[in-house]
Amino acid sequence: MSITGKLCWLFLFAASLVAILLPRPTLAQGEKIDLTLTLVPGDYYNEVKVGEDNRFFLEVNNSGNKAITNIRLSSEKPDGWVIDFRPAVIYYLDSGSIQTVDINIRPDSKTTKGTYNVTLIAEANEIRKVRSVWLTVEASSTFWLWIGSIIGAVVVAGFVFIFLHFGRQQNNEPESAP
Amino acid sequence: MIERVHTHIISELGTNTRTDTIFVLTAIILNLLSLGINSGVAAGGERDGTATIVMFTFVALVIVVNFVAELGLIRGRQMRAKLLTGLLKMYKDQGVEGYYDPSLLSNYNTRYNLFMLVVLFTGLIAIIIPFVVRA
Repeated sequence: MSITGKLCWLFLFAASLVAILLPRPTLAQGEKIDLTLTLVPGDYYNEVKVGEDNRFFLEVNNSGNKAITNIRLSSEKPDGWVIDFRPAVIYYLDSGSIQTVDINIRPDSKTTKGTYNVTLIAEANEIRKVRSVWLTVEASSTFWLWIGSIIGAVVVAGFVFIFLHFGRQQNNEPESAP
Repeated sequence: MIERVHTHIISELGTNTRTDTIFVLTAIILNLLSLGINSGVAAGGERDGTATIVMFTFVALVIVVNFVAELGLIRGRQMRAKLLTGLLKMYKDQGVEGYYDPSLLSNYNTRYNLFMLVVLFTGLIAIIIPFVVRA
């Protein structure tokens, strides 16, 4: 092999070595702002009891690469329901961080059986995120049972009163002369 | 004349029986009908004011009809007792009282009380069950 050939091979070897060993140029990443809301234990089926406190957790996850500030938590709910967040405001959430928020859901005592939609809203300075969850009211409300029982009791009392009052009139009436 | 009076009393007793039968049957049928309608309304998905108004209207109807039936039955019982007392007196005057047992009077009383109990309980079921379904 001639000297020229050796030089060519050497050049190729050096070039390959440089290509392999030199660090790759780093790609510049764009700013990504994202917030993920997850209701624990689940987003799809959650059972709640009427007129009682039902505790859940909301995981607020900053899935972007920039810190999110001043996240205010609120909700859209059926009439008469009370939903409390603790804390109601997350002042700072770093990227990749998760903050757990306690949620207390108290359905109205007159709520009947069924599935209800509740919207959880997280509104920050940088982003607004909405999460819709379904809550199933399984436990029966005692309100209508009480109404039925009261009406039933009134009817029984009325029957007894009429029975005694009008039934007694027969005895009080003077006997007609033969 | 006494025979005409006897016929009249018997006729009155027949009318009394028919009237009481109508009271009992009307009350029971209405109670069952109301039970079905109100249970259907309560079990339905509609939870608005209209469903509640329909339910309470039928409950009011059941209460009124049941009270009217009870009053009618009480009056019917009293009327029957008076007619039978007159009939017994007539039999006694004619010397044939041995053929009619006076304990029938108390039997009729018991029967009327049982009718009223049936009306009351079907009415109670017609009122309470829809509320249980709705709860």
